[in-house]
Amino acid sequence: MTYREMKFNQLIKKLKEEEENDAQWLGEYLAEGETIDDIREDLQLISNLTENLHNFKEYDTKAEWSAFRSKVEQNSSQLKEDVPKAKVVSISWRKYAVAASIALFAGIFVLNQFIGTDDNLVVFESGEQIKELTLPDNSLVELTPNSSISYHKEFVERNVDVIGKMKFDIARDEQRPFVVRTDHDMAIEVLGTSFILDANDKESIEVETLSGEIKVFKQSNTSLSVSLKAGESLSYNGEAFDKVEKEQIPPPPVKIEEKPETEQPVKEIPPIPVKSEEIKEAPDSGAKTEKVSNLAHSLPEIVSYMKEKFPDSFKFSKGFEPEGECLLTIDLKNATKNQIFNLLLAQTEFNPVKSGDEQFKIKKIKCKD
Amino acid sequence: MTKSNTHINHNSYNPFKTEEEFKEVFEEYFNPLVNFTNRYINNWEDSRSIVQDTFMKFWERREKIVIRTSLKSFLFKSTKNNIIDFVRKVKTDREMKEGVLNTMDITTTHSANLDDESILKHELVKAIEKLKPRNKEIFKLHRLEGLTYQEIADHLGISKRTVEDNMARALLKLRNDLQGFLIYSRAN
Repeated sequence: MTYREMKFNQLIKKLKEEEENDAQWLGEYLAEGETIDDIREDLQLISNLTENLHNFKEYDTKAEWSAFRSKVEQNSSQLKEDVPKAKVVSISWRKYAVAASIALFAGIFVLNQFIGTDDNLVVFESGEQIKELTLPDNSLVELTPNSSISYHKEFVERNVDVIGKMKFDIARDEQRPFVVRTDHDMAIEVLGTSFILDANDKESIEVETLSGEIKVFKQSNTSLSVSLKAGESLSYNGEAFDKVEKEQIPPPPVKIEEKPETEQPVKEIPPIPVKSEEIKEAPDSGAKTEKVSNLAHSLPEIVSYMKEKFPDSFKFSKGFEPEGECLLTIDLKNATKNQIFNLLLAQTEFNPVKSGDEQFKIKKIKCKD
Repeated sequence: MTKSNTHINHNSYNPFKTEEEFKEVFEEYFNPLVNFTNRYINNWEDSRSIVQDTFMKFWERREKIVIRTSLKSFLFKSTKNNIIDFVRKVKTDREMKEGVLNTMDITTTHSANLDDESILKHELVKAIEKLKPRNKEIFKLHRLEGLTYQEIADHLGISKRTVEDNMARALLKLRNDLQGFLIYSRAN
């Protein structure tokens, strides 16, 4: 018997002796019908554990949690640096939305940052970063830098006032229309859909519907309204709505500044192939150039191109939605940010929808191919 | 009661639905996971970083996560995968690489013990902190500092008998606080 065991036995013996004298406090620790012997095994286990405690390290979980949240923020600002501001500004607002989507693909989540609450009014500003906000009805708003959104704390009526450019993903609630008001006498009413609104402090406002249908109207005259379906966009100059059908939008050229940090002129490059240095990584890149130029708008061709070009970077899987639509899932796990970015920049009309940290989905594709 | 016990019977669920829930899991399991990790790589800072990264991955996927086993085994399994990733990526020293990875293979069947041990120790530390000040002080002096009852008595200017009383009360209180975990541990 070791010295420690001896001491332990002495302790147990002592407890037994004192049981009668001090039954009151001991009773607090014993379950009904339990005796001191019953707890011996547990005490031995605790004893053994305690002996090993010098190997055990406890971090302050509150501090660790703060560090964790800072890291989440830090990751989001890093991503912002990866997509240089000059480039983002130079591309159209449609493209900007794609850039914002990439932020989501990369799995970056930005802390909600409420900058002020005036009793009932909640104001949320994005500051210098892209921020995501979940409204009380679970609708999601992605704010581009220098944008703000305000709403009543209770959110009984789903009304928000906005400044700047942001993407909405509205939770469906047919009983409560969601109304977005701008400073420009324009408002948008939706039930449940997603769209991008650009209501910066400038002459015109632009809005594009990504899914579902939205109604755009003048706040001063609600009878003057225009409906926008998925893929349609509209601009408003303060007087009239200028609706653009999906088919009428020419595929916009991709503008990429080669060196965003300098002020070199913007160079136009064809949407595909993707950035030249990325292609060099893939084997057999030269021979495919001709095929690339034919890719303009056919998704199956893009898929086969990407499959050939980046066999390990992209994984494609086809599935079927309940509505009978074909669903193409592109797994971007091994793709570089540049590859993804260029792919998306090249083909914005497919309206990729975030479906995971490293995945997005493209819906409504004919399954023939 | 630990999450591993409360969640163990659910068929499938997501413990990370809200930030509040996420934080709760983080705070509950951070230390057990860091200690679990350190058993393999024997570097506290790396262990801490691996567990932070593991939670970052959960955070990024938090809306999609569906757990069909217990939360505990999900967390420890994910962490273990991250340890393996870490060793493959960071530890270029071949011997070290193989050494750790072999350990991971060997312990695959036994890792449940390490899971439980790190959780139990974490709960023990929490329970010790909850002891009455005098009980705690004496318990720590004896069990962690290694002083004898007589040394503690001399140090604190109290009788040896009082030290023994305090130790007995501390042990029983710990046992009471840890009862759920001890039963769980014994059953495994």
